[in-house]
Amino acid sequence: MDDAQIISLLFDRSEQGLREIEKSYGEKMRGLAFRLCGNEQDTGEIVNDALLAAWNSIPPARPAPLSAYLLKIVRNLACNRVRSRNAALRRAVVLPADELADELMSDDPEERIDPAALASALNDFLASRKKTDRLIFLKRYWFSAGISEISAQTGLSVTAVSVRLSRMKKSLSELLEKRGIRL
Amino acid sequence: MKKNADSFIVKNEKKEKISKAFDIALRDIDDAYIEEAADNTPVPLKRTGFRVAALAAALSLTVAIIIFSVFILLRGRATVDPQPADAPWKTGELHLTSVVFRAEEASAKKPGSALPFLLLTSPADSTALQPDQEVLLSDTVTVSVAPYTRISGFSGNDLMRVRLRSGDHADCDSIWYDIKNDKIVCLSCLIREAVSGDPDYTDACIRLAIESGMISYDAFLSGEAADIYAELYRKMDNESDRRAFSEGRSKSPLPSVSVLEYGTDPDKCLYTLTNADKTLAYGVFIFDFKSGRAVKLDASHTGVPECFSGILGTPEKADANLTLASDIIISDGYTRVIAEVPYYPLGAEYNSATGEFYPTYAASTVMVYTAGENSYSVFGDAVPKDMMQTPAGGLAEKTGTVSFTARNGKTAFSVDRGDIYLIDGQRLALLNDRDGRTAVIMEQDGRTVCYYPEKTGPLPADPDKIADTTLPFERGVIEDGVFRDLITGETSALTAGTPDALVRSRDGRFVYYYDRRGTVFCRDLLTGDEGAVEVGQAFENQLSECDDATVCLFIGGNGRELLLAYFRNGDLTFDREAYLASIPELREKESFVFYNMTSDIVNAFNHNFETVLPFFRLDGNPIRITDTKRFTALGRYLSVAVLEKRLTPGMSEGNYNEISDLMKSPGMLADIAEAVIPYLEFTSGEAFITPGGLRDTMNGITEDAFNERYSMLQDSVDLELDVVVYEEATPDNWKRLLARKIANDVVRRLTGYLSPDDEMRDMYLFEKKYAEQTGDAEAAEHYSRLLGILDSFYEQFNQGTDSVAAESMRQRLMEMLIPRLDPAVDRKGQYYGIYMRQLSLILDELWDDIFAAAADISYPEFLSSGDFLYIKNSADYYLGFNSTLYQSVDLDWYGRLIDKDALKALLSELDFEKKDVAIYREAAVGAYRMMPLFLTGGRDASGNAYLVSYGYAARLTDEQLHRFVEICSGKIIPDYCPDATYTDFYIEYDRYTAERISRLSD
Repeated sequence: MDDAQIISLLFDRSEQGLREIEKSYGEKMRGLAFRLCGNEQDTGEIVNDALLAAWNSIPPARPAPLSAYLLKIVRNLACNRVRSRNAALRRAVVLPADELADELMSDDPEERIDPAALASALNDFLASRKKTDRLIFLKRYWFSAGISEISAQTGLSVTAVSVRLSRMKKSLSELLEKRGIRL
Repeated sequence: MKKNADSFIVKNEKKEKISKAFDIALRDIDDAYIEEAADNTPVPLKRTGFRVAALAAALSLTVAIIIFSVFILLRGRATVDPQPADAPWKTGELHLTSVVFRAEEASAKKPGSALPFLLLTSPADSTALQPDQEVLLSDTVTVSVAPYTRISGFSGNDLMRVRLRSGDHADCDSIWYDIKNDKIVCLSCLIREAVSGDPDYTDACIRLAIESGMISYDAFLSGEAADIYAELYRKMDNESDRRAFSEGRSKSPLPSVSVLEYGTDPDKCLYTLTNADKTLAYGVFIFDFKSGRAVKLDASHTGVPECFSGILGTPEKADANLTLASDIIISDGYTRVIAEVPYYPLGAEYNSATGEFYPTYAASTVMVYTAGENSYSVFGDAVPKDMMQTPAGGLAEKTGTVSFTARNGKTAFSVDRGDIYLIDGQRLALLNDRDGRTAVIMEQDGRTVCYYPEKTGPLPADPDKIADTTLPFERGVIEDGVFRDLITGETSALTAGTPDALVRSRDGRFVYYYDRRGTVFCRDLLTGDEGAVEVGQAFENQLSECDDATVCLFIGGNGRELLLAYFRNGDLTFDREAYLASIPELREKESFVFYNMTSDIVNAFNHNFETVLPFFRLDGNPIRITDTKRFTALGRYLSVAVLEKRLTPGMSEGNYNEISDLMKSPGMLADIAEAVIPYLEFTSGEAFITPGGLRDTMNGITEDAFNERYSMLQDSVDLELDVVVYEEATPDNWKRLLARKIANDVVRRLTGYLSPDDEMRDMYLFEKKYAEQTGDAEAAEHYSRLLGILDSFYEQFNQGTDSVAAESMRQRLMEMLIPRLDPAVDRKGQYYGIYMRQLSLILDELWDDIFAAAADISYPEFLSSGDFLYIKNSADYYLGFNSTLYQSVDLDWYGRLIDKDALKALLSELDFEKKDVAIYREAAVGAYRMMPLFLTGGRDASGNAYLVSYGYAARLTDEQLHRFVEICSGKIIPDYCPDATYTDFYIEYDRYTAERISRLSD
């Protein structure tokens, strides 16, 4: 069933729409949630919450593409849950964004971060990369995939993936600097 | 040292800020890129399939195995290599040449964490060790593992968990290397083999199987494998293991039973049995409730009684038809089966072809069976868990009949409200986890109440043991002035007769009530004990056991008196004169540096101040607060002073949790309360504290500023509050609404007004910038520090406007507003009083800019955070602590928790007016409050019902109150903020509250 049909079902308030979402995107949603939160209990809840969010927001929303819409919800939920959970436990949060922060942060105690500018820079950065690089970057920092997973998917060696990531982070850092975004 | 600590803290705080910024930015990645990457991203969840193989063959390594040496040092010091983010063993690609296992470290480490062995990841690294090299020490055992073997955990010093990448057990999930016996054991297959054959196992494996929950004697009591497991049991040489085994007390979660179908014969059900995490399936069973025996079906599922609908079908079809309708949790050896039937349309599925289990969902029915007594109870009720109000329409709670339908469309069973099947008359205890998610099974005459026992442990059969359970629960309830023991059914009158008000501690365990002579009593719902709240140690003990160490605001018998009890370090005595004498010192002290307390401190205060600050005078008579304003303002002033006194050097640089802990530390609030006492009027008369007033206390403003603010509010009352306009977020108006909300957020921050989703950050930012502009370096540094503290918990705030664009808009709005404010006015004053009005006027002027700034916020992102219901009055931008004027009700993801139409209809009938009102709600915290509207409901001394919000109240008819209760009742929202700071975001609901709500509307 394609996205339009699924959305149509949801507009008709048919639960079948959720089942179709589950069928079409459930695995990806679970995969993303599991990568981020690391345990199946939270994974289940997050995916469930995301489906509910989809139910509640469609209609009136007609997201396209639907997959990205769903995955964004999942990601937001998972990240929030991880942060919340780890804040309560006084743990350092380990999310993909943390890794980026860790590696791109300068020694300068002052930072100038405009989240909107950062988002714009990220999108521009991705637009400037080739598809493979983009996939690697997003798989790593958006989907929280491991290096070996990325390696298996892209056909590149683990070392190659690591090197590309390293180079991309450097390029990103330069782009941010150029745009006056100081980390 | 301090400098290093400073720089570390600064760096850490900075990192968190950057991380959050990236997190927000990543949310705004173009959808096309997400989709592009999603198509190519594998799903990491892999369940093990069910493998049945001869154990001997399964344990043999393939020809291709290259033997490596593993050195195990049973003694000695450990060195652990730093674990890189992509440590090979985490990714499964372990080019292992040598692993040294250090037993000492193993016991200290959690499985999956930094592994306690020296890992050489490539031959080139093995400068000290060579493949096949054997190091002989007195305590060394050499073992061999296959290449690419991932070592992921340990069980004691005997077993090392590994994962094989090749061979027959490459996909099995529970592979262990028995170190002493130099043997690899697949526990998954071991269990299966134990059912069908003669397994080859070691004692360590048995122990591990018990610990991992893979074996439970109770679970297989009546199954085919009973003999096998009996044999296993006999082979155990460890007494504790034997005991655990016989009692079925696994150290880890018990096996999970998933009901496939409840047949037309109510005494039988069909279920699958899996291990706790459902990665292993043990088979399909029929459970006979009457006999308490379970019969395992063979692979062809022959012998299924006719009472079942044929859900299993043929083995080929079985996989397609299998659905999980519920979980049965088998208690620990007491043969009590608790079944939970989820009522959620998505249900769950098991696909044995892929070995994947999907999670089940919240239950709505609990069935309890005690095999030994050959009886069972079914509790079915329309009391919903958070999932209950599904798009499918929810339960027919009005009709009295509840049906639960399994996903296969079959009706599992139906229960008529009020029908109770008792287990030979035995009542069950309540399991009432205060986070609202633990199941509650309660039987009341003519009514059944049921909650979902989410991941609870086993129910002890012996009621006397209930008090020992780690699950907090209520042994009894208080109804109509009578305590009813739910275990024994006995009732006992409260010492205080039938108090009009009961106040409950935040952890729900204690209920306080007051008699007219001024004695406070406490009923411990956990034990059922009652006692007078005595001065000194007794109460202190209770305080220390309560979640927030304070508690108890009593509404006296006449419904008007506000009676407070206070204890300090178990000793009520305090030298009032000496304290009064010390006040000037406090006054002179520059304590306002902390007046902008971090929102966490404030919220911790808020938490405790919900109905807190108990006071007794030295003579034992309660202190009555007669002057709300003085109390709130001075309370804040002095609480600040006390807080400052308590802070140790460097404490302000500490993290949120430290400060929060400080606020909750025993005696802390008592100290604060004590500080306030001298300023209370010891006169009789009516005393009122509004929720808003209490909350206002936390703003940390000076008394003068407070009075000024009140004065301004007095002036503004003429604006004629008219809460009649409701707007719902739609594609047409959402930007305007969002812009307004964000504008409100910013102004509230600037004014220092703390809202439930308060973000002091911008206020601190403002302070910092102002200090920089005026050259006040010390203040600038101070606010920088506070900013750092605040950021550490910033992410807990409501996500509704937590988007890149929304945040950006806030920043821009700040930039617009700051230059417009008059720097000549004292900077503290400008947050309050006259500047509130000024800010409102400025916002009016800047509205077009504000609205334009909101244009960047994308709609789906907005909606993905939930719906918004806005309520505004005729003065759009009057901002302050009149939350009724302009607020949004953030509806949770679950969305439908609040009947918005009903709420809108109700609010349209009401007229809010400024009014000092008593705290009406009966201490059921958050029972029917909507944040950030802070709508609470209750009755005044005359019995009139009101909706109250921040000093404004609207009179309700009883019918209206009932409607409001209906709107709020039964909505459970999971607490996403386990530290309880922001539980006020959600409507809380629990059984006790339900009773109160019900009573309130009577």
